[in-house]
Amino acid sequence: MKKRGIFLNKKAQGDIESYFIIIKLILAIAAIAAMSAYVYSVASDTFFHKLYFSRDIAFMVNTLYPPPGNIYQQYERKGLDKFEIDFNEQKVQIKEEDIKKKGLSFNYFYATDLNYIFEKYAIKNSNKMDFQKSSDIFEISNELNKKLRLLKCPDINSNDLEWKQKFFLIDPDYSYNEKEKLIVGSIGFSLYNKFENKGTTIINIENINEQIRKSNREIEELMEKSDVTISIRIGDYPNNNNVKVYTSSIGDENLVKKRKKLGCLIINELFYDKDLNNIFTGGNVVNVNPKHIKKDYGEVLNNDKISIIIEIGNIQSDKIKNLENIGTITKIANSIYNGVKKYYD
Amino acid sequence: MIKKFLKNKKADFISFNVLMHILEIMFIITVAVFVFFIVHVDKKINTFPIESEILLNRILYNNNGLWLYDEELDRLYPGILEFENFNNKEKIEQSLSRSIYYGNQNTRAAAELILEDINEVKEFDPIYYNEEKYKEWVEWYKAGVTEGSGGRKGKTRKFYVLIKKEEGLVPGTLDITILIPNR
Repeated sequence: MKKRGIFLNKKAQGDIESYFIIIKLILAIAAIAAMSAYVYSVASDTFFHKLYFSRDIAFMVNTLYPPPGNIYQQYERKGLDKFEIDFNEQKVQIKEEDIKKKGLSFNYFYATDLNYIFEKYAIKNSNKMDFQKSSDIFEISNELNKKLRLLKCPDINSNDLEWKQKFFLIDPDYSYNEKEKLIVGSIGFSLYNKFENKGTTIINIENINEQIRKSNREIEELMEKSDVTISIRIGDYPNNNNVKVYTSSIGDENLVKKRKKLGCLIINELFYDKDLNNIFTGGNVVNVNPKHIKKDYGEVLNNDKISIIIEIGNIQSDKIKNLENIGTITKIANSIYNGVKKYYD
Repeated sequence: MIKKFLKNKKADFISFNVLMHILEIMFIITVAVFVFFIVHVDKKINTFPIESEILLNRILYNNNGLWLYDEELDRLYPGILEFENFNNKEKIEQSLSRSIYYGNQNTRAAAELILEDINEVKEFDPIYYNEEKYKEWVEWYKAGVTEGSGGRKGKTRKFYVLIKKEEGLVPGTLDITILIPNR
């Protein structure tokens, strides 16, 4: 008599039961693993941390794309070193670093900007990570990439082998703030000493021996006579401690580009120094019409020469105290000089 | 009858043991799915306010073609809208997608931008960021489905802008509606 039903004989049924047991075991192991990972996350108090960090880091990426200029942001959170963080396909992935098999990974989404090259490195064993954005690169790592902070300078030939014979006018200008006077005056004097041309002059500074401050008429004459004017000041605004180089937008295209190039090279030299890099929060060349800015800035820039105003830091910033150190002042003067040297060499 | 069936060891039909196995598997799958949902879905953190604000800022301050950009100075003028670009729907929508890129399949965010010329009291054709999803999600949003894992939250903000036309700068408003699905 022919057998009825799905399974035709006991052997076939036994085999099928074995398969079921295997499937059950696999599923049970998967369920236990998922549950133990969940329990582990809760017990080790990492569940909320992973949830928080994944979102917070994704928001940080999203926030840093729109602001203009070069951005450097250090992200530091206690407990971040417990996790391994990776960035893949517009997702922040975060999981336990030490016991990977037990930890469940958490993901959260961020949006990249395809106009930037996105470079990332997995972050491990660190409470800190660095976000950096330059003109065309967005980088996430746990090590500062100094080159990334450098500005892209205008591509124009400014070579002049006889540059040391040029007449430089150094103008450390300050208001009547004693701190500002000390910083700006010292940088100006240190820079003045680096130029070999004896015709190079420093103005607006009280000479240590003679206590002489040049008259306005003398200053005007000197500005007429000079080839390059470098004015040094300190900014006065609510936040940050930036370096800004003001250049004039008046004049022919090449002259405007040359001024911008000089300012750009000086900023890059300032940022290339590790200690100075930590003092300044950002830097940029600000190309302005001298007639539309404050009067004392306009007076320096309103000519057909290479004239720049370097605003070194911000008097309202806590970091300004770092500039009162003689070693820092010398480094700033060296960086400005190296920027000028690169411009002509 | 069931008793009889269960006692019949020689039955050729599907056995009791196999039936139990199937039930056990279903049970394990249910537990696994439950655990998965606890871990990945039940996250009662509402980050919509900050996410929507960041997205608004990316639309307002990115060099995405909407705003006047001076290439020589590398300077963007947020608030001065390039009308020529805004009128080129395909170009501007592509540019927005490139500047806020969530992957090929964007299921994270969508937005609608409506420009109005205040002087002429004229509303222009809207442009979209992730148009397909916007039109799908906006129905849910309008229906008030904003809570739970299937909900979509939204926010509309009005900005006063200057529209750069051939004849010069004219005042206008830009209404931006952001939609973000819950996670």
